[in-house]
Amino acid sequence: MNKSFITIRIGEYLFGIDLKHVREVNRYLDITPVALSPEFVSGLMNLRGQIVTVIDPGIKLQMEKRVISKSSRCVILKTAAEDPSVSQKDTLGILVDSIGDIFTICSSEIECSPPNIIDIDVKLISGIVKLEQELLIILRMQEFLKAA
Amino acid sequence: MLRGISFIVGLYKECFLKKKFTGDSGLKRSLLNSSSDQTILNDTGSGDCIMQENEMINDLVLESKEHLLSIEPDLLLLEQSANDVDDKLINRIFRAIHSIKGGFGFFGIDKVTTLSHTMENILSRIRDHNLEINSPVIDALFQGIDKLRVLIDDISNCDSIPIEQELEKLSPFRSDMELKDDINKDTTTQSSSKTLLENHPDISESQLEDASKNGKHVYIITLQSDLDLHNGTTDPSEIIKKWEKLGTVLDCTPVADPISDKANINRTDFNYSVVFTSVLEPDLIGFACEVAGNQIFEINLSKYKKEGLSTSLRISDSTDDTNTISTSKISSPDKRNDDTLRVRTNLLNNLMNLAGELVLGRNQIIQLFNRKLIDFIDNNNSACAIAQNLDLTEKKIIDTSRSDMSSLPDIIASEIERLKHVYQSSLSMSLKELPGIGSSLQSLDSVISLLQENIMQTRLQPVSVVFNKFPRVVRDLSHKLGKQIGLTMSGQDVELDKSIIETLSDPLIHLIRNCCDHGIETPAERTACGKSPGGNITLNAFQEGGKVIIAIEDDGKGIDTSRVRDIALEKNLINEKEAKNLSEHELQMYVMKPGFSTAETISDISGRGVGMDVVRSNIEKLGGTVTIESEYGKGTRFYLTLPLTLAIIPSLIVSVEGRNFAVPQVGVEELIRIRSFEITKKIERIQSAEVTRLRGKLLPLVRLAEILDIEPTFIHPVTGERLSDKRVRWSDRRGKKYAENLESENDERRNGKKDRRENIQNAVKIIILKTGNNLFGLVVDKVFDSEEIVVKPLPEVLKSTQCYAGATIMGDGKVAMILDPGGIAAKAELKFSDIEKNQNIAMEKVVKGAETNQNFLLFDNNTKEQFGIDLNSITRIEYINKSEIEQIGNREFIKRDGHSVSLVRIHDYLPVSTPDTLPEDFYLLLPRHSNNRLGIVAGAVYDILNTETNIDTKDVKGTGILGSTIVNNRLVIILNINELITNAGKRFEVTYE
Repeated sequence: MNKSFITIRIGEYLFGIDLKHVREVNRYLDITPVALSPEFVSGLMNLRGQIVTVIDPGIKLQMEKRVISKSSRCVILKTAAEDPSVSQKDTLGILVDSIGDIFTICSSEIECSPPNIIDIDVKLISGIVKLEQELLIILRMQEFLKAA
Repeated sequence: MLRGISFIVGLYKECFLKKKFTGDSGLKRSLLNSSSDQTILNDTGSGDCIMQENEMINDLVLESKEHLLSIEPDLLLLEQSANDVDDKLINRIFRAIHSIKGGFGFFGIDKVTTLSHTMENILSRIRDHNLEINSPVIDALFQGIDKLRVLIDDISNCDSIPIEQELEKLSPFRSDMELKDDINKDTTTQSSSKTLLENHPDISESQLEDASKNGKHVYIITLQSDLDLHNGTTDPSEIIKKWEKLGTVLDCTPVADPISDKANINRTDFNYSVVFTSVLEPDLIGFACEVAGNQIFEINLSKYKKEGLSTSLRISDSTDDTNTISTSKISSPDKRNDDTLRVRTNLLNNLMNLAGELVLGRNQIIQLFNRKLIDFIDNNNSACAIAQNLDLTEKKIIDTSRSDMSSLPDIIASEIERLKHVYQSSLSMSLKELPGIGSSLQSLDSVISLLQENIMQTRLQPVSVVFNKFPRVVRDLSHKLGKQIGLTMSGQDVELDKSIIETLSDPLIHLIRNCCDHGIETPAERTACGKSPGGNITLNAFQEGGKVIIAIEDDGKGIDTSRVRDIALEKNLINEKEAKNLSEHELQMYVMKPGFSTAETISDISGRGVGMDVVRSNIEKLGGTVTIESEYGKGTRFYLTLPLTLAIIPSLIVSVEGRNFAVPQVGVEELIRIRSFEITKKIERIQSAEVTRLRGKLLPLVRLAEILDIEPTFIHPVTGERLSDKRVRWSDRRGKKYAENLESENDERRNGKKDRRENIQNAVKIIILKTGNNLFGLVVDKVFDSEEIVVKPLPEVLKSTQCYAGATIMGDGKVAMILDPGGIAAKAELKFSDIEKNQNIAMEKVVKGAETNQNFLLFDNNTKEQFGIDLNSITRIEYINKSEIEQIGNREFIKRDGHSVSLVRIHDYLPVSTPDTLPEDFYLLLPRHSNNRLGIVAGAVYDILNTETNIDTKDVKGTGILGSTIVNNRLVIILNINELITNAGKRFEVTYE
């Protein structure tokens, strides 16, 4: 069975998000920081009249906070209304350092995460794909968004 | 209504023509078995038809609901007018019921039809004066209406809702003839379908179900030997072969003709019972099969199933389960009804027109911009002119320099002056206001705000939507309770947001029930009190400012505050001391505490003590408040204050450290601005708490940036960067010297020498916010304009921050947070409610004491704070040397008059600063209450103040503190000696009497 993944770069790593979770990728990043919000929330953003909660994935993946640059993008995820496999009611966006290609990968190519990963919570990873240049870490979105 | 039905009929006709003869059972089926919709769609290929049917049913449901609503008040009127019946009134009710009956009859929804038919029958008897109007009749009719509502609300499942109880209630009032008719009909049809199927033991239920799922009807047709088989001359198999073309014959068995003699049985005497399924409708089947109508029975499958339950196998549980599952599945699409709103047509027309205007306005602006483009090209021309002029100047200067060097400076000066002029004129041309842009922008603006207003109005509904339920509620309750209660309502046309109206219903019903159950007394009690036997409840809605107030008032017994006090004590909601101190009004507010009930017994109407808490929390959820006014023996009045709408609220836009926030205007009491050179004077501090004086009262100040934990920044005057600011206090920003030299500074300013820090930006802006009855000041950096903002709900992850009420999108497209004053007060740990109730009373005492010239002893604790204590509570002041102190564990004692005295250091008990060390010599204040076993340590005793000072109880607070006052321009913290001693006693585990 083939699955499509959108690749995102967070820090030095390349992560993959199942394309079925993604509504759109956004370039306009006027994020209003919200005081007192949990650390993993970058702030709120106006997406065509809709409020999007922008999440900094770095915090969950034990990395540093994102700094917005020219290549920064916001991956807008589907809500529970659009994608029954997730539970969040609010529109969430994931702030990433850049986005890459979309890969269609056969599920047999996806390997389990190696047991020696310590920094990243293994629950967040659904598998690893060996690309030619580097490794693609597939994120398990339900787990990833649990606290969000 | 008639129009509505005729519309439905029209649509239906259209649909009928398209579908040829699938007919009304098809409609019904599509409703009953939404799972079979798909097959029907495939069968007939007319999906849009079914869509229309559903829409038609939805319309009918909405319309019928309105009818039901209108019937209720009419029935009440009918009951009141009793013997003097107004024909118009009866006709109105009659027509409404009839419309419901007709509409649903058309779609073959039997239950609704049967019930409404029975009711119609009774009404017609009333109309013809054959039936007297009394409350049992009206009760029965009301129950009928309630059931109709239940049926209509869940129209797709109405077959599974029993109506027998209501019919039974109604039956005594029906005309006798019809009753008999009905009974006969019922028994015959029921027995026949049951007994007829008993003849076919081979037929399984699933076979029948399959058939009905495929949109077929199940018939049992009896072939009579004499008529159809011509006394044996025709073979039944021939007839059956013919029928096979029309449908499926599931079973055919011979049955004995009950009339024929059993002894004489031969083959020709048999009647045949045939189970036959076909898509043909009941009215066509007889014609097609060439059988008389009375020989055909259609088996209503759901009915059959139910009978099967009671008579045959005990598989009731499983079938029941499947039933409920299917109902829940089916009912879901109907839920959509709740999301629709009926909008007045003229309102929609307004919206349409305004939208048209908006487009016009936009076009105007586009045109103007095109013109501006032309102007821009013109400006380019003026730039050419400047260039030419520069050339000219250059020439002139070169010429002059060659001929006359001495006049060169003059020439240059004049040329520069000329160039300046040319440049300015070209500049003014480009900046010149475009003619008409102002007015068209203005019209655009007004159109947009009108549009917004109108759109907002589409969400408003009159409170009558809720109010109309109450006459019925009050009537039923007064019957039940044996009381005479009247209800007067006013202001039903006041409009509120739909979502508010929806949430309002429950709290209001509860309050009305309360009034009926607890408020209004029985007629006997009332006459004993000298009141009229009939009680009265008044329900009034009115608009006040930007809010809607709903007042519910009864003339009953009111709230017995002494009982409230007893119960509160009993339930440990308060302690003895508090109980003594609570005021009437405060006690009245206790009825809203959870778990509080004054009812002696729990009835089905009220008494569990949950209700009032629910009322309060529901209203507060809407951003409203509840207040109670009650006079024992005379009545109670509840005020619900509600915002007009939740979606769009006027808000004040403020900013802190460059971030914008919206503060809902509802909570804003006033704004104050403290000029920068007055800051040291006007903002005082108690430890970290900052206060200011507002018209003689102390106002606690909360810095928004601090509460939100935003790093303080300042804008660098040269680079314009935002840099973090290390200065903590405002006074740090203002030198003391500066404030003292105010006069000379002002002179300097007049001379144009400005202090860098002295500008408008540095003034402190305070927004005075109200939460409940308490005020506090929110310090912000900038205050902008008031704006109407659209409230967007707060994302789930941010709910824990407690400071925000929601988010909004500002005019510039940026997101801004909406502040929640209550949440901020909580976050800032402003504990108004806890302390206030104690202090209000203590205050009263103090004030009373002041009238008899109460004296305060002023002292300090070797810190900068000054304290005051009631002199009457002190028996002695002792001068102590440090060496006299004896230490046991962490307790300190001195010996006086033969017994030991524990030392109380106030910083151990109060939120005040701690002195560095104890001085060699100090004072000990011995309070009266502790039998001289405790002594309060004081660093220095200053003065005795004989005063009637107002003590402010809001700002400086904590256990052991009464409040604060101002003496000689210094803030003095007044101690509550009783609390202080009790606390100290607790710590030493000693009780001091």
